[in-house]
Amino acid sequence: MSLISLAVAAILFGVGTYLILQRALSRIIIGLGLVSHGANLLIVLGGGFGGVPPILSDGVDPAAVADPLPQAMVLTAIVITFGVTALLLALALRSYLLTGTDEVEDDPEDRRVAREVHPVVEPDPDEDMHEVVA
Amino acid sequence: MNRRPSPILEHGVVSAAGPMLVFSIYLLAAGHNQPGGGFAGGLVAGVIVVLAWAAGGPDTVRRIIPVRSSVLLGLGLVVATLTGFISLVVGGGFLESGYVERTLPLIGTVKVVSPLGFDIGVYLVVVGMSLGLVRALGGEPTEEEVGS
Amino acid sequence: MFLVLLIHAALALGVVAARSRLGRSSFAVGAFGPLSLLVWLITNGRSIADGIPHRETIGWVPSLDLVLDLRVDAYALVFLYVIAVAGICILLYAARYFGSDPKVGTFAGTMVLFGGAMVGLVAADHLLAMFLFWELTTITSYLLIGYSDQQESARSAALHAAMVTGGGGLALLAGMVMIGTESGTFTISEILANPPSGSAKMGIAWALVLIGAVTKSAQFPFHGWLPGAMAAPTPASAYLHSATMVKAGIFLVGRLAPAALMAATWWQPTVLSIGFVTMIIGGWQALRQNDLKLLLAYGTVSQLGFLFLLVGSGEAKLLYGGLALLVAHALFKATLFMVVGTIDHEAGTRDLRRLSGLRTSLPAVFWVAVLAAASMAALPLTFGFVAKEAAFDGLVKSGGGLVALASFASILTVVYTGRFLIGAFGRHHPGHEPATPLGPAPRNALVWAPIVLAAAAAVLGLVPGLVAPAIDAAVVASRATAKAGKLVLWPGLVPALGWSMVSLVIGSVLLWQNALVQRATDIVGSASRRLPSADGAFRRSVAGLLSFADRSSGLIQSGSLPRYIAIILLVAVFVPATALFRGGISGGSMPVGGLLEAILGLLIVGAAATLLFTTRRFAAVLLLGGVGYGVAGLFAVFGGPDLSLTQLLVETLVVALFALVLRYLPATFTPARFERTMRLVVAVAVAAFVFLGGLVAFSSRQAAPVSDRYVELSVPEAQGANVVNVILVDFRGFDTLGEITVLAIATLGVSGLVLPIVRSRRESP
Repeated sequence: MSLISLAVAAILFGVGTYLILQRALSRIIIGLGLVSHGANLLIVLGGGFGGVPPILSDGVDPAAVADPLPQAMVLTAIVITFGVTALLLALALRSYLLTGTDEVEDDPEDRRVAREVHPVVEPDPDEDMHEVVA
Repeated sequence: MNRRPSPILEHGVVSAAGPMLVFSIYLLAAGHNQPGGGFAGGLVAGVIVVLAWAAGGPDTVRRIIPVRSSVLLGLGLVVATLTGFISLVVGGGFLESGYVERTLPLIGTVKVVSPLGFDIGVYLVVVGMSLGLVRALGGEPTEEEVGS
Repeated sequence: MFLVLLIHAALALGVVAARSRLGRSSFAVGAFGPLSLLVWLITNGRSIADGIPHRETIGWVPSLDLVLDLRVDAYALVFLYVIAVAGICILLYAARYFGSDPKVGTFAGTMVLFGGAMVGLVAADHLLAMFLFWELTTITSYLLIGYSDQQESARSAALHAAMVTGGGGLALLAGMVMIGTESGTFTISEILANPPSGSAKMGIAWALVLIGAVTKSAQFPFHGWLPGAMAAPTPASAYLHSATMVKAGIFLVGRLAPAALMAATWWQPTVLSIGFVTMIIGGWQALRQNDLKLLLAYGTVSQLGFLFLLVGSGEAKLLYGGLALLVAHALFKATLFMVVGTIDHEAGTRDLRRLSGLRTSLPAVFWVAVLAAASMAALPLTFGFVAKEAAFDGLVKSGGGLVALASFASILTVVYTGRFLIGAFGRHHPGHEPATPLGPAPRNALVWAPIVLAAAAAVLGLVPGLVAPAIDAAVVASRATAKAGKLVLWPGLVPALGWSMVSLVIGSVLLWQNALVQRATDIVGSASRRLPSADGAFRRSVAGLLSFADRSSGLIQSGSLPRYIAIILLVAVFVPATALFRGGISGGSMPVGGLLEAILGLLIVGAAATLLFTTRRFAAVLLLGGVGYGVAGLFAVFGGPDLSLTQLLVETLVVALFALVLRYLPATFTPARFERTMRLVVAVAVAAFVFLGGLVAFSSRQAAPVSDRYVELSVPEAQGANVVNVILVDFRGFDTLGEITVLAIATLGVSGLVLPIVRSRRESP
């Protein structure tokens, strides 16, 4: 870990977030890629101060190697991100082919719900509720 | 934008594909003791797929790698899982590793570890994935599909 | 005891499972539940009444201290007898009450489940276990009230009841937790032996407990749900809403009153006031009802108010009469509900303005009703009289004019009892009006089940000595005092008798002058309709809640994806951030980093910053690739050649895939619409959180990394020198197997998303 790399990871998160908060799907995917880079970097940094590669050939001091566990996790994460990115790209492409745009529109159902207001029923003082009890 | 495959580029890719494939298999085989492994090896093979596409489009990809991506994906999963079960049958836990050491003429002592089988499965899945993605996304768009 | 609970649960499940085969005989099968309780009570009751509580501890997860403690003392015994006897009679009654509705089996199962929950509530010796059973009665009550789920009125009545009692249940839970933590134990018997002393916090706790009891027992101002609950089929009303469930709150205040009195001086006056107000309001409302069932319901509210103040006040002399009256009330009120059910069943109406001449057409039902009503009005020689004498005796001894208030309520009781009898069975205009037509003659159980209860009440009225020892023992068990009252047929010329007689006489006179009473109730009624009512308050608060929900969800759920993500991210940043940074930030031990890192970092940040401003898609993709290569370089610096290699290859493939997709898309982005400042704020917040969080997290490592083991074992165990690869394919091989499965599925997903649409376009240009 080091301050410079931590700052780089933080900036990647920031720029990625900025891009994710937009409507073009391809931009969102790029933003997600940046955030993933930042997260991977962060995990590797969590492993400590680095060291020699964790390959225990002759003459390597096992105490001096970099922490292999975050590396294994990040390796997994990189490949999974690849899969996720591919899937999102397919979604963006499909959305574009079907609607002619890769923008995420507002959800019409959510907008309807947001506009909807339950009527406030003022209880009718003359209505005896218990008359209706069957 | 109907592209004809460029014969020269295609030839170059085909001749480069052999050495790259060897390199990718080397990464796979050496991964247990050197940098590399199933993921890295498979991704190198994936780069071959991309290069083939760049040289001549989907047809060239089909010519260079005449396998369906789903076959590779399925085979990879089967190999990886079987490796796990083999150690279960031999008497260890699922995916527990073991090794066989043999001395071969000319090459010398070779140690084959069971995780290699697992890594082969990983390799096949990654290659299948690259192939499948390039095939799915790499179709030729018609004129009207191309945005301006 | 635990066995009894199990029998109830098993019967409930079994009856529901076999409902299509059993039909309405499900109720008869279900009656074995309360029957098992009765058998248990008969075998164990004597030693319990002698002062030796029955205890059972069922370990569930004993290591976590999760045990079910059951403790039945003489106080609980009284309630259990009521639950058992009322349960048997009402379930057998229900077996003839219902038609062959296929849903009937579910109803029967719910009734049995309720019975079991009630037993558990009374027998549990752990506050939280008691609370669980308490909530189970709320839920079953909800299901039973809403049985006619086709009717809007039944559904809203069920919801009303569930919201009031459920809300009270939440208050109760909070109070119980406070009491339990304060006294260091949740075991009820230990809390009562060693009650927590008074403090402001305990005052709140006891107030919360009281709210729970008040809502459950339909006390003012929460009594509105009980009349609504009459939407339930009559057997449920008889069992839950008169005999048992509504007495759960009374059971609770009676059980805990000694401890509450130690901590809260306001307890007794509050309980007394709530009880009296409920008593009067319920009695008054009962005068105005034309529906026989509603009349009984308001009568129940009134009686519950009386029981509440008697049992909950904490005075042994009041408790004595309260318990006797509780038994009496269960007997006569369940009987009367069954009578109404039978009338409804036969005549098709419960409106006392439309019923006429049932005295001659349903003679057996009439005499049962007379017997029970006499007990309700506390005529001499009935058990109701005996019990009320005991209660009045206690009130007289307590002084303070309490007995006068109770007498006033008794006048109302006499009048509405008279209205009930005359309205249901009398002829309104003798000679002119035909008797209400009836269905086929009532089936046996419809008549004999109420007869059994009425007869039991009659016997107890003549020989109160049969039940007196149980009440004695109950008072002794819960108050540790000597005998506090007496149950006798003839109390002698004592002040209590005078009060009873006065209220009986005035009540009779008022009944004789019924027209006068009706006019008075009409005038006061129409005036009081303008006053805020419990129902109105409930409906207004529900409406207010809905409009608040509308407004808040309209604000949050706007339909805009960027806004959703912004909200999620801000919450995800600020919630952990407040917790993380409370300990302060110190990153002093962090090294700055080397030159190589600085160069790579600059490259990455430069590419990322350019990304913010580029509008060309392809340029953006290339910049993303640049960032990826830079990160790969950083990985190499930190000693991860495998990572670096994989990152490089993946980044290459990602750029290639992007390039494939971008062939379809326009070359430039459309300008973003979402507010730029908002995006900036969220982005900066996220980045700052990551940086500061990293500082805190990375400088607080104390334990040795787990991966030391992996490094140690890699060569000897897995024959591999590359530890990262060994972890992937050996130590954590299962994870990797999962991962490649995900990859395969993602690939199939991409093909499935894209190929069909591309193909269909090619075929139909």
